[in-house]
Amino acid sequence: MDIIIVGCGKIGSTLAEQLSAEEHNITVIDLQEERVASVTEHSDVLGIRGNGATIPVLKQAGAEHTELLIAVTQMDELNILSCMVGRKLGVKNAIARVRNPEYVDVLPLLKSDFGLSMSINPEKACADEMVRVLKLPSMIKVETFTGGDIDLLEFLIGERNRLIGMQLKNLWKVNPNILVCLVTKKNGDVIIPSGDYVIEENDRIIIAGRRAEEMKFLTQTGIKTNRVKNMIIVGGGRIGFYLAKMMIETGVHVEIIERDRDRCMELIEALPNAEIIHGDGTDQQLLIEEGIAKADAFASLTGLDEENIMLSLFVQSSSEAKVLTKVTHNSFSTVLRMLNIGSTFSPRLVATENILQFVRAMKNSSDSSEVQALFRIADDTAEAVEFLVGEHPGVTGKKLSELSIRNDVIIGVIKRRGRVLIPRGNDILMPGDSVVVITTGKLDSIKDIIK
Amino acid sequence: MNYRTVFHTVGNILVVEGFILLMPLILAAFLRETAALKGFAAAAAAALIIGFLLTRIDRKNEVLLMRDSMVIVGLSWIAISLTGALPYYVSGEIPVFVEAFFETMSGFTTTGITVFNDVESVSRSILFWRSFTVWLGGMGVLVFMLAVLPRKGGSAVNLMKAESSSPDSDKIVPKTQMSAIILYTIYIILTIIDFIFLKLGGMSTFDAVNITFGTAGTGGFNIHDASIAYYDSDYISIVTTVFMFLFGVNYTLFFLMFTGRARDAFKNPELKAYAGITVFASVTIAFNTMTKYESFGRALINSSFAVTAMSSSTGFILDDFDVWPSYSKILLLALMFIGACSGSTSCGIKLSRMIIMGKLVVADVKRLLSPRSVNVIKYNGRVMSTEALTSVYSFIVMYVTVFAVSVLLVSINDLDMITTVSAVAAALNNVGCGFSQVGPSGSFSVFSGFSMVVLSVDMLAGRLEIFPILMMLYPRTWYRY
Repeated sequence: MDIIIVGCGKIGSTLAEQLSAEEHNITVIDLQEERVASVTEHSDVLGIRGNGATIPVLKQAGAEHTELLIAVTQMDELNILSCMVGRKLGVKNAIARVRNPEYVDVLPLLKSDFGLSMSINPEKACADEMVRVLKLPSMIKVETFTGGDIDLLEFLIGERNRLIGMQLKNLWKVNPNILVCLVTKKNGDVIIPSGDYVIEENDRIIIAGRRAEEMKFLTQTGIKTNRVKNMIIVGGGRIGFYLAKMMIETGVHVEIIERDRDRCMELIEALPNAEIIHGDGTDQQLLIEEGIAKADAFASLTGLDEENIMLSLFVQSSSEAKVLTKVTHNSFSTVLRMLNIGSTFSPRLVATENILQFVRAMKNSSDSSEVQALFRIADDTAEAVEFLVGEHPGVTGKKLSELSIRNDVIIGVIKRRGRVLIPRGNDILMPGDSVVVITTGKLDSIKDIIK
Repeated sequence: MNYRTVFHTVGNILVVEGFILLMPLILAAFLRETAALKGFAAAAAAALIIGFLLTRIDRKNEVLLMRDSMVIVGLSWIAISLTGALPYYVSGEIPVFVEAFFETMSGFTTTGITVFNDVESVSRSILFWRSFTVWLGGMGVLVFMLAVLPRKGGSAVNLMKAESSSPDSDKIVPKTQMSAIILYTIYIILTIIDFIFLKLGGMSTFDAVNITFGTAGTGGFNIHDASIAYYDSDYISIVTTVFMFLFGVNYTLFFLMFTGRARDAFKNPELKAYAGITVFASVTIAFNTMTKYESFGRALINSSFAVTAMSSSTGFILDDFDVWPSYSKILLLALMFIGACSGSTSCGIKLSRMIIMGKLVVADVKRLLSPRSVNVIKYNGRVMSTEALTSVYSFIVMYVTVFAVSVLLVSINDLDMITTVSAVAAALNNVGCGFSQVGPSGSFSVFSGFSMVVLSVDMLAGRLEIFPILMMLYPRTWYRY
């Protein structure tokens, strides 16, 4: 697919790298020579220096035979303009980053009248992700499949977990409607476990199943699923604002600690139900006074990654709260994992993920392939793919135990006519099923699961 | 330096060369040239075995920085020239290995200097291999590898840039592999058209293949002592003139023409300059040499042939220009240095650099006139960054320095001044034909082994545009990281 990316900032460069690795033909446009150069040096893409909202530049980038234009510069207006011009020049789809909340009402108009396919607001998307994780505390990450029926949950096996020492083939005694489909060892190895695998302390496991069953499983295994009642947010920036707004809507008491007086005034105006504290969130005394020990959830969302990490470490040590950390620069993700600071979020990564999701879906619909959704899981080392099963003699209509399935593949969940089932050896794949498959390799079609 | 990946890639190139060597090998078997067959078998075996051994090296990370790519390019060209010299040496056609290496280097760098005194007695499969090295070296061995073997990430484009660092040569389409395939496709199409035109002129298939390869790679190995004059046909002279000109044009422009953007292509300042200089030089030299020919037309055929042969760095010969008046000879010498367009198979300094240089000089003069005037250098509609300008400057300075040092080193050989200077110019600019003793009627076999090594380095430096060779001489390049 031919794709133009306007803006080589954090999101633009990550997108260029990912999409070109996925064999798309990428052309990047940026005003600054050095930023173009740094992208073209690292990824196999074509770079053009210029204003991506002008006709000659877009023509030079080959707009007329381009399927997708992604405008992710710092400026909302430029992004929107770039998409409009691109569409007029023949680009088939356009995605714009629009982060100013004041433009929320404009977006439907842009979509209907100017052919914008998708708009992305990184801070909003990041807050969305945080809310999803907060609704399932103790969880590290959540991905949702088949329209919300199937969830993938990732969580850490802490000490004293009753699953430690259990063989996976005995797990059905605890809950037959849950499948453990991926294990990340403490040293970073990612394995597709067989029935003989024995769960150890500090494993990070991913389970698949219906959300209700998963909740039940978590209660059964003693991993807490307390609902959040009190939340403290340090840093009242855009993410903080969106997060607070959504949490308040679900009845949570939210306290925001913000350093800047003017911003505090803006926040209290926009969020009358929140408690706004004017103060330095990195002040331990202040946090203790504001009841950090009793909070169920805590989010460190200041502008500095280092500050956020330190804050989260402190809170993790002094309270039971579920901790969310904003880490914008993701260069040291392996180091962060060693720190055990719970869930980390990067607005740029979330936005990138969302756009990638869109592009993959677009590609799949144009390839008429069976892939419905695709998530990178376990730090991008594995993929969870949802297939709509077609007619494949050799795969469909046979007992799973009779198929020689690849070692790096596990069939997670089958959804058939609204029923969700965990596959056993006697089950049969049928055309029309939705199947979630987890793999550490690569899958283009359901028939690739065979050796 | 990322030693593992560097050697792995060099291994890849040797394997590719090993398979390519099977072509002349089959030809030698077909023509029953036993000595040559032995030579090709030895060379193919050497390239494949060393190549396979090197590709066994486990690459820990595949990322190549610019410096790694430069070293890969330099090492690869030396490696393929060493193995590519084996056919000449083992078959006994060139009994001295240094001379065989020189001949191969001259082929791959598209120079076309030969050490054969009697080229017509050389076996045909060897001649074919010689011409084929020119064709392959013309577009670049690494570009060929990039077209054949897929490579992920940004490393590929570094390799491509390292082999041709001209200011105006960039990828045509986003994917490097696709760009390499497009470049080779254009190259092959033009080669086939040239071949058909030569065949229509009544040339034998073997001659047509060799002359086409020589023209396409702008190398210009002769397979007859009289070069193109052997055919005594105005048709063939004119066809060759036209194609020498075409192969000196930036391939990106052909791509634009094929994809219906011809207007953009004709706006290219380098193409305009190239056409202008070619016409100007051809006409003035024709006037200058009119007295030596029966008509102006005949003079023009000869002058335009010589002009395109020099500026495209092909070095084919139609008539002995050594007897022409001084104006013509000096102009031809200048054209050797100026060269043709960047992104083509030609060599020399390249017109784009000359144009940018000229604009820099004008800007400097302007600054002297009004010290507060603000200037930018624009090339092909784009403002040039300071780094790009500096690299043009330093390229030209290095080019002249390498030239001067080489002249000094070759002068130890104690040949006359014109021979020494023009021989180095012919090698550095990959033209392959100089004046006086290395002129159209002379031969490079007058040089000693030492001079040949110097000239080999010059050819390589000229073809790879100096910087990869300089990088290899810089100690920090070799530090592990």
